[in-house]
Amino acid sequence: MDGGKTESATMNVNQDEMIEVRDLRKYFPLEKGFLSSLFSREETKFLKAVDGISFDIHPGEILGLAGESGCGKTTTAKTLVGLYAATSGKILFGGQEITELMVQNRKRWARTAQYIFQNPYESLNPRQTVLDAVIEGLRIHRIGNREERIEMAVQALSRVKIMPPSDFFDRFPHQLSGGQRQRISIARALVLNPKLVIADEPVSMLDVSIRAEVINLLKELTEQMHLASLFISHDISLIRYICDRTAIMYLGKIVEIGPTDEIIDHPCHPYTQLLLSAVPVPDPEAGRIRIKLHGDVPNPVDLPPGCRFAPRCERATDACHLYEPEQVQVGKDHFVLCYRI
Amino acid sequence: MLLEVKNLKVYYKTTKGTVQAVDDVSFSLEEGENLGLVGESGCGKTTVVKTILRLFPTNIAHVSGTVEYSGQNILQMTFDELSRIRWKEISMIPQSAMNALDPVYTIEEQILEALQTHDEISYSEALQKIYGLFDLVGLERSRLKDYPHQLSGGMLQRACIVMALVCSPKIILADEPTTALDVVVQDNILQRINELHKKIRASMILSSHDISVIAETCDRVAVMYAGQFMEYASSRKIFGNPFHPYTVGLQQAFPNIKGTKKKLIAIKGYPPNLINPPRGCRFASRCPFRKEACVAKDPPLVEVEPLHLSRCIRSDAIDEIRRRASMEETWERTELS
Repeated sequence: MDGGKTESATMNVNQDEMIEVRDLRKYFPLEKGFLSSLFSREETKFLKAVDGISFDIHPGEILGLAGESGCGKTTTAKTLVGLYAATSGKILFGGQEITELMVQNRKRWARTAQYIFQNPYESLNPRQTVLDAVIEGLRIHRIGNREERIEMAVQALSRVKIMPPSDFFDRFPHQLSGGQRQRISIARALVLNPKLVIADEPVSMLDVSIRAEVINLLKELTEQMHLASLFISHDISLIRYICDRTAIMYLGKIVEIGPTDEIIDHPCHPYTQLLLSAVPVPDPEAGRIRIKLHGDVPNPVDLPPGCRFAPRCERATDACHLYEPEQVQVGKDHFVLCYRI
Repeated sequence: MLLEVKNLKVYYKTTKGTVQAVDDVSFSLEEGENLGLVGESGCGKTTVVKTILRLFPTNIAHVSGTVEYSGQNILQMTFDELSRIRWKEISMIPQSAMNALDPVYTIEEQILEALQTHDEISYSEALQKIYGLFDLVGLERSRLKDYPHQLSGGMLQRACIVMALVCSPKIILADEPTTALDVVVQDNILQRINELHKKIRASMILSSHDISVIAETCDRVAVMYAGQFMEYASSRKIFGNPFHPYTVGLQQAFPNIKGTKKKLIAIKGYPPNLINPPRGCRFASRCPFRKEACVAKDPPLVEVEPLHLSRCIRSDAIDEIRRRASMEETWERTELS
């Protein structure tokens, strides 16, 4: 699948720092009970959390990864940062394959790929001051001396608009608001000058009135620091505002990928259409046309053959229930996993 | 008028002091009406909802005001009188309802408990009633015999809706009913709530931080901040003609899947400490339009147009406020503590 790779020549980006994911799979074996391990010849069942996805992230762009719970977006993120080892598939950085390297030498990969977690109340060590939290990465990688580290912390905190930085050095997380904590998490990620930043639902636990601050910041930083950013969210309305391109995931597959505005204005995959029709609108006068849904999400362990969305799809034909669909290009940089466009 | 709340104050005791969680809130609920309580964390909306059923934690410090239902003040009822109201007349769908169910009993046992505690009803009659509601919310009847862990989040929420409806109450209190759910399931539930509302004609008070959910389900809306109502009007007026800077700011911070894509503007800062609430307007510290007079005295709720209340003394300047509010620079300022 070639989502987004085609027009690189016109994009004036540094190809050397592009992330390429090819046919990534992450399967989790399900544990059998003791007795069935001994006596049963049943094959191990797998939870196919990520089942063959491909995408690119260019420096300076934010790729959105959207979908509902269980679709595999967090597993994808964790595999990209090396917290999980891919079951199969390739991950390339700057044209070089790093799929195994990133797990074997996760520490080294951490200098390139950083993660911002969802829960600002849990992702900062409550016993670490702001300064300690931000420079910890520098200490682990033995970068700079104390003075230089403080200087880098000042820069990172300034970038995330924690001002003046020195005022915050000695504060502990409990003395900070959720929004401040999240920004410090971002500073901590940035201090190592990563090339890839993965933000996993970075604002869903923040108050609505301050979410904009954090996501605008992420957009700004992506542009300024030429980062390749992956933004994971179940909130498509939010994705609309900061993601240049978006991939919609469903049960371990990317069912649609393309420029965000395209996907939102002209969704092609039946699931994308369903997802978008379900988003509430903050306007009592706006009428919404809802797409009727059949059935519930199938069990990701016992997936039916054919297209995963077929059991709930209005347009499904017999072929859809038998054969997995292939990627179809429907527009510039816009790809859909469906027979029935 | 089905329910009338007047000058409600609810304070909690904590080790750091008394938190004035709800500070002089008044509103009414008509038959067949959906009232939305919109606000962010700590604004007091959950406290308001729970107070209606007199669900207080052990550290309650002060409750005053009246909550009148059918001519009686719920806050002064005897326990017997209260028991007759609870669940039968007024029921609740709690926040994260999926965590509100007991994991060691089946769904059937729990719903039956709700039904049979409050009504003299035979098992077969109860079952018919429950099945009817299951069909209404789109739950498979077979799920009745399952345990909570066997149901998905969306199904559990629907089971809780059934439980809230099973005694045919006149008022349903829904506290963030879809917050923990995926958007497709949320949409499903909201649709059901709207359909149910038409079918069973109960009134509803729905609290949420999600203004889009409120916009789609509520007739009247109260915007809460720091324990008080900042604005109170019909849904159309709140969204189409907001008067309070907080309401205006909230709408600009909120992403919209439709319409022109303007850059989202955050409201910098954070809500005040309610242990010692600041004098004057509680939103003042974050308000780009504040004047001296805003912090000198507590602003009252004033009628800015018929049936539209706003707690802002600068409503005469609303046109200018709205104009300036749409510019990012207006909200651009160093954070205030």
